[in-house]
Amino acid sequence: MADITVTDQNFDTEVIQSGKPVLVDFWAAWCGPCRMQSPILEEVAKTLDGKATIGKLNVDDNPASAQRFGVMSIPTLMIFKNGTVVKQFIGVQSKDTLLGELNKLIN
Amino acid sequence: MIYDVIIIGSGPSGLTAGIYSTRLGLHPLIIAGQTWGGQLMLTTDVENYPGYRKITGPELMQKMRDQAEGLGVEIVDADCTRLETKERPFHVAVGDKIFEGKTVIVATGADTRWLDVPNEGKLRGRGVSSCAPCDAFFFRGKPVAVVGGGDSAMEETQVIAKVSPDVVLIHRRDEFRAQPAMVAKVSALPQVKLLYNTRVVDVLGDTVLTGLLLETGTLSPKQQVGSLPELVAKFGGEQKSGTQWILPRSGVFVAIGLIPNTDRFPGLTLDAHGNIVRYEEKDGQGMLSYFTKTNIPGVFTAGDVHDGRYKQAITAAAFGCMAALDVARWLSETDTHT
Repeated sequence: MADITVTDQNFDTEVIQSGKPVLVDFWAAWCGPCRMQSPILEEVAKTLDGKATIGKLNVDDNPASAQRFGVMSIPTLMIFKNGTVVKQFIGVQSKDTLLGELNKLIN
Repeated sequence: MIYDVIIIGSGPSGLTAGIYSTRLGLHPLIIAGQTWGGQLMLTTDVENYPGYRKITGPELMQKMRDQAEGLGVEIVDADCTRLETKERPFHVAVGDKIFEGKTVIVATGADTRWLDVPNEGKLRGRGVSSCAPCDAFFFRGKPVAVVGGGDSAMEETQVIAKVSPDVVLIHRRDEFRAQPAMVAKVSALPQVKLLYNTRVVDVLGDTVLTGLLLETGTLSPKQQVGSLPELVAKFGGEQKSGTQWILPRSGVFVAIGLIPNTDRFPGLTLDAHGNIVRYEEKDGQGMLSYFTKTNIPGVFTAGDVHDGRYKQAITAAAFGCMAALDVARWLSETDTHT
């Protein structure tokens, strides 16, 4: 499981104001590639062991956040640090790619 | 640990090969790839896979995977990076890790062929998509285009037409290759306009897609002459030159065909379309024996990577079954010879 479920309501407190890097996975139940991404994110979360946060945001339930960050394709993965987007991926990404980016951001 | 067969790919052909080979008493390994499941993961409703009146592509693939895993097939969710066939057992590399197999089934399928226009890379995921079922949600109420003329273009059009009131289907020829029933379905949709004989020269926009640069080809009898200029005028576009026009669009779905995934297998013989060539072998009575052999003894193939003709989930699954049966027989025959 991902570390947190991100919503329109908690986006600011859980992601923007977080002291740790946060990777947000914009996904939906009807998106096949999102299903491919999920197990990879679980692996990433396991490896990181809390040093960065993995969050999942369902775009069906939280359209405001998807629109706020200009998401037009899913899965989109955005890494936030200190409240800003530092890296963005469109389409399914490998564990190594994601860990590589997140490890650069972990102090 | 030497596997009897290493199956590269996890679409209908790869998973079916896994299911059959394990039930034939072989020890298979599936290298599923990071993006497992193949093209069906990018579709919505499947209504032509026997046994299911209606099922989504991702659900169908999950069921196939569950079945394979339930039967004990090992699956590695990583990309095959290299295949070494000089010596047996063959070496299948996944990064630094090497898996050994007595035989290999290449079932890597095919991926989206992109438009190959200058701004496409920049705008992919920013209005340029190859997956209407994935991305249609973001284009609700917006003007979009679909590019292509085959079955997948018709499918993409039907999906996007559910949310967009303004869909232009752009095809470079004057006739569709898609199944007539699908063409009829799409043609009947009032929100869909067809544009034949038109080429996409570029996709336009700085941060998100704003329009398409289109070029009309030489006119043919079937073309609705003047339809592009009319559409451009209707949707507030402009003429760029004699034959080039800008059509405002927020999204474009590319469905112009597929490229077989063969780049990691340099030793395999390919045909003119890039599909792996099968060597159909005849037995002593002149009957076809093996159907799924490649040019390399011990390497077999299944699914869309070798089949550019049928390209259905059910045919891919059937090829996977044939490859597994061929592998089992080939192993028993070669084992008795050596």
